[in-house]
Order: sequence, then C-alpha cells, then structure tokens
Amino acid sequence: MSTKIDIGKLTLKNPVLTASGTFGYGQEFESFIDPSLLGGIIMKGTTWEPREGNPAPRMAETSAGMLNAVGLQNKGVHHFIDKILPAITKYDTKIIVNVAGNDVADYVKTASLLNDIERVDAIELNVSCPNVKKGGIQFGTNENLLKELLSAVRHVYYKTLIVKLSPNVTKIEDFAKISESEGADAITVANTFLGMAIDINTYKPKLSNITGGLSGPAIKPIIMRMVYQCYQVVKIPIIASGGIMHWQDAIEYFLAGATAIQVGTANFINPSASIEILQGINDYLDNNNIESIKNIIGKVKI
Amino acid sequence: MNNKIIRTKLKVVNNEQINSSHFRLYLTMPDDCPPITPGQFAEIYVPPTLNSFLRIPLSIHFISDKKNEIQFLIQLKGEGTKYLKTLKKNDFVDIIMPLGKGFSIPRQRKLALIAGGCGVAPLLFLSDKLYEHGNELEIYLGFRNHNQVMLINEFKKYGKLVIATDDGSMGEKGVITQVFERHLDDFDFIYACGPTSMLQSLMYLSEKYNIKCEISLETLMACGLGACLCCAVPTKKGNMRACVDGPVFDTKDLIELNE
Ligand SMILES: Cc1cc2nc3c(=O)[nH]c(=O)nc-3n(C[C@H](O)[C@H](O)[C@H](O)COP(=O)(O)OP(=O)(O)OC[C@H]3O[C@@H](n4cnc5c(N)ncnc54)[C@H](O)[C@@H]3O)c2cc1C
Ligand SMILES: Cc1cc2nc3c(=O)[nH]c(=O)nc-3n(C[C@H](O)[C@H](O)[C@H](O)COP(=O)(O)O)c2cc1C
Ligand code: FES
Repeated sequence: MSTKIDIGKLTLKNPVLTASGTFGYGQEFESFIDPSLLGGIIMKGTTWEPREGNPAPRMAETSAGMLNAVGLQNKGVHHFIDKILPAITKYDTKIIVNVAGNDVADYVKTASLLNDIERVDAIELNVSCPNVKKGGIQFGTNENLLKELLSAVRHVYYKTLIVKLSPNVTKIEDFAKISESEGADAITVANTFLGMAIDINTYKPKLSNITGGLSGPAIKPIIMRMVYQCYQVVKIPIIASGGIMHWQDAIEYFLAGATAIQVGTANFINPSASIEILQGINDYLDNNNIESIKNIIGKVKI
Repeated sequence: MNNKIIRTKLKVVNNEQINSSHFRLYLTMPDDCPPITPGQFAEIYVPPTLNSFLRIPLSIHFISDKKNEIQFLIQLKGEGTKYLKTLKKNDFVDIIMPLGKGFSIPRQRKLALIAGGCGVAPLLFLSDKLYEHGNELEIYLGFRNHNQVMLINEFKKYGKLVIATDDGSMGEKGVITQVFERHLDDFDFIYACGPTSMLQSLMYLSEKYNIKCEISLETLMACGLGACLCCAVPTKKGNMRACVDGPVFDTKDLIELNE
C-alpha cells in the first residue's frame, strides 16, 4: 500500500498537508502531533514587508464553519527565513510557503528570495486572500492579472510552484487552465469564500473588515464541485482545500480528482485532525485492497 | 512551545446552578496535568450547533487539590454554553489545557483584585494562589444588581471584600471602578477581569496612580493555540495573540481596548 504522491518536482510521503493560516508553523501543534508524519506543512501567508493585519474582531462562527478576516498578518519573509525556518527545519516533511504581495513586483521579490532557500520545498502563491485591500483576490479573479503574475513569478522561481485559486469566480476552470499554461506545477482548490455576518442586536457586522473568508464543512460541497471541474480540464495535480474534517472528506476529494488535500479549520477543533485523517486514509486503502492512493484519484463514476 | 498542553477527556463531578445566568462545572483533574497558573484557560469541545462550531475558551476558575477537582464558572451566552449547562455527573468533556499566559504571583505584597460580572471567573483561583504566597488582598466585585451577586463566601476568606451593584441593591452603589477609586490605597498591583469598559477605566486608573495592573482579556478565539491569529490584541510592540501571549496582559503594554 502506498500513499506517495507527486506534486511538481516533489514526492510527498503522503497526501495530507496542513492549510496555510490554520496550523501556524507546525510548532503550535507539537503537543498533539508530530508534524514530521505529514506530507507537508504550508506556512501562513507571507509577504515581503511585515503586515499587521486587520483590527479585531477577526472571526465569527457560522453554521458549520467560520468567517475570518485576519488579513495576512505576518512578520515578513526575512523574519520567516531568519527566525522561524531554523526552528522547523527539523521536521521531516515538506515545507511550503504561502506567498502573497501588494503587486507583481512584491510577489516576484519574495518568490525569488525563497527560490534560493534550500529548506523551502515549494511555494503556494496566494492569489485569493479575500481579506486584504491589496495583493490578494484581484489576481485570482482576473484572468489577465493572473497571467501576468504567474509568468513573472515563473521567471524567478524554479522549484515547485503551486497556485492557490479563489473560489469567488464564475468559472474556476478558466483560472486552472491559465495556471497550467503559465507553468504552475499544481493548483490548490481553493481559498475561502467571501462572506458576511451581522449582529442583530447591534446592527454591526461581526467582522471589523465587514466581510471575511468562509471556511469549514459549510464550503465542502462547493469546493468538491470545483475540484471535479478543474480535474476535467488540467493535467497538473489538484490539491483540495475546503471543509476537510474527517478522512471520508479526503477520500471524497480524491475521487473528485484531488491528488492531495489540506486540513484547515478542522485543526482548531481537533488539533490531531491531520494525523487522524492520514490514519483514516491508510486504513481505507488497506481495507479496500487499494495498492496506491493514485489509483482512486478522479475515479468518481459518472 | 515551552508550556506543556494536554488534550484529554474529563469526567463531570457536578454541575451547579449559581443564579439565573451562571453555573459552575466541576471536573476531575487529569492525572498528567501540567502545572496551571491562574489566568490560564481551557478550550472545551461542544458539539456543533446551527450557529456555533468551535471549542469554547473558559478561564480556569478554581483548582481543589484536596478534592482533585478543576472548576469552571460559566455564563450562559449562546448555544455552546447552553450545552455545557446540560452536562450531568459522569458525563465526559473533551478539553485542551492549560492554555495561555497567566497572572504573575508576587510574594507579600498589597494587592487589589477587581472583577465585573462573570469576570470573577479567573479571580478565585488567583486569590487562592496569591493568598498562599502571603499577599494581602482586597477584592472588589461589581454586579448589575443583587440577583447577580455571587461567590461572596468563596472570596471573603482571602481578604477584605467589597461588593458593588450598579443599582445599589446590594453593597455599595456604582460601577466597580468608581467604588475602587474611592477605596484606593497603596496597592502594589491591580489584577482585573471583566467587561471591556471596566478594563479600559482600570487602564486609566493604573496609569493615573502609577500602579502595575494585569488584566485578562476575553478576545474572540478560533484555535486557542497561537496558530490562526484570530485573537490579535494591539500592543505597543505590535499585535500580540491573546491565546498565547495573553490572555493576561500588563496594561502598560496595551493600546486602547477594542469594544
Ligand atoms: C480566554 C477566555 C476566557 C474566557 N473565560 C470565560 C469564563 O471563565 N466563563 C465564561 O462564562 N466565559 C468565558 N469566556 C467567554 C466564553 O468563551 C464565551 O462566552 C463563549 O464562547 C460563548 O459561547 P456560546 O456558544 O455560548 O455563545 P455564542 O453563540 O458563541 O455567542 C453568544 C454571544 O456572546 C458573544 N461572545 C462569544 N464569545 C465571546 C467572548 N469571548 N467575549 C465576549 N463576547 C463573546 C457573541 O458575540 C454572541 O453575541 C472566555 C473567553 C476567553 C477568550
Ligand atoms: C484563520 C484562517 C487564516 C487563513 N489564512 C490563510 C493564509 O494566510 N493564506 C491562504 O492562502 N489561506 C489562508 N486561509 C485559508 C485556508 O488555508 C483554507 O484554504 C481554507 O480555510 C479552506 O479550508 P478549510 O475549510 O479546511 O479551513 C486561512 C483560513 C483561516 C480559517
Ligand atoms: S486563537 Fe488562534 S492564534 Fe489565538
């Protein structure tokens, strides 16, 4: 039985990753799990300059999910390389940095710096953050801007390049195709949905930023449909991100066409979720005599 | 992480109604529990409902080593706390603790503890530890009216206790920070937990009278582990995470509090 999968130039020992912004830098979960057991860990959205993010309140609970408006708070890529990376290189897993920026030049600077950092195995280009005014969702919702950004980044970044798409578009397949033709090695489908919640007692939005990104099981069926649609049109691997709480959700995504999956919001409720999901996938393959996880990718029967 | 954190299932020993909107949950202490400082909190799992989804952060209210018990004082808010109210003896709760950074515990000082409403929750365990370390305590508890007053017997054994109600129906009349200012003495430290407006007034008072002041903030949290950055608190050193850098902060490090 094998859980190995390939993403671009990388071979991951298993298809379970942790989603950007939901797993810190791995250290925060050391009391519960060993990050080395995972296929990879994806770092919080990282920018060239430090960012303070949005004011409080930054989150609101919803039916089967949550809204967040953190707004890419991070101490910048230099801080990441100098202060955080040395503490996590010990993990025997792939380290993937989620990269965001104000404009094309910003993304390019960060990506080209990370290209030379050996321990960073891949970058996931965040063109889909719904919570910042600059450098996020506009690249993921405008085909021309996405093309321009990807071709610029591909020129300076030679390692594995993943593009994290926005689900806030009418035809996500078009953005998947652009990513593939501009040389991306894989796509993540997808980031959070733009949402909103209002306090009926104060008449105020529950988030300081008014709107925020919806995550959790509430979004799973929509992301499932998007993974399926993208699988029809691109050959590069698809990494599913959206409402994965249990191993069954992961299997469902593999059947829809995902090569790997990311555990996000689930980490907040069950800090061992990623490892339990991995165990569940292993058991499923064993129990059904499936030799390799690759054998079920995209195997939904239509 | 330096602090050891455990996730475990604890048995309910008792669930006691205190007044119309507050109850106290007693759980057995886990055998392998790391040391707990007053002001630290736990994240308790509740089944998802139509409007809630995440764990519930609750301050550690009291620890009885003798009875091997850990207690939580809980105010009914929404569906999550309503669920906790239904727990019965011998039920189990899935809990992650101890989380965050607690209050500092000096020795042989003169200290004031101030709470409004459910803000009393972390201060009982704090009083116990401060008392144990030979400090002299004055405790100021403010409530809306006499029906909401609670835990007088528990607190009074630790020092001078002053009760105030907004409507004067019990104790002194007025908001607790004003009552406190009337009694203000040569305190070395102020400790507080309660509504944001109360904490904001205390920030001014501590500055005005130059008394060191530590407050516990109940910022909305998602992970409680330092991973999501949903709990940002603006400080003079930039945004800090309430769940790991707090929930207890020294007021001199804080900027304006958010409502
Ligand atoms: C570190 C920390 C320690 C806490 N300690 C205690 C404690 O010891 N005892 C206790 O009763 N409560 C405590 N709280 C608050 C408690 O976590 C919330 O009241 C609880 O999560 C509400 O859950 P619910 O599902 O019942 O209500 P929800 O349906 O989630 O909320 C009901 C209403 O309460 C508001 N609310 C929710 N969480 C908070 C919060 N953190 N602060 C202010 N308003 C909120 C919501 O906006 C909503 O209007 C603490 C919070 C934190 C962050
Ligand atoms: C609190 C929070 C912070 C997030 N931060 C980022 C981020 O910095 N970059 C990014 O690409 N996605 C970010 N995301 C999106 C997640 O990585 C993930 O794609 C999304 O939550 C959907 O998956 P889920 O339903 O499993 O959580 C964040 C999500 C949450 C809930
Ligand atoms: S609640 Fe997640 S970082 Fe504090």
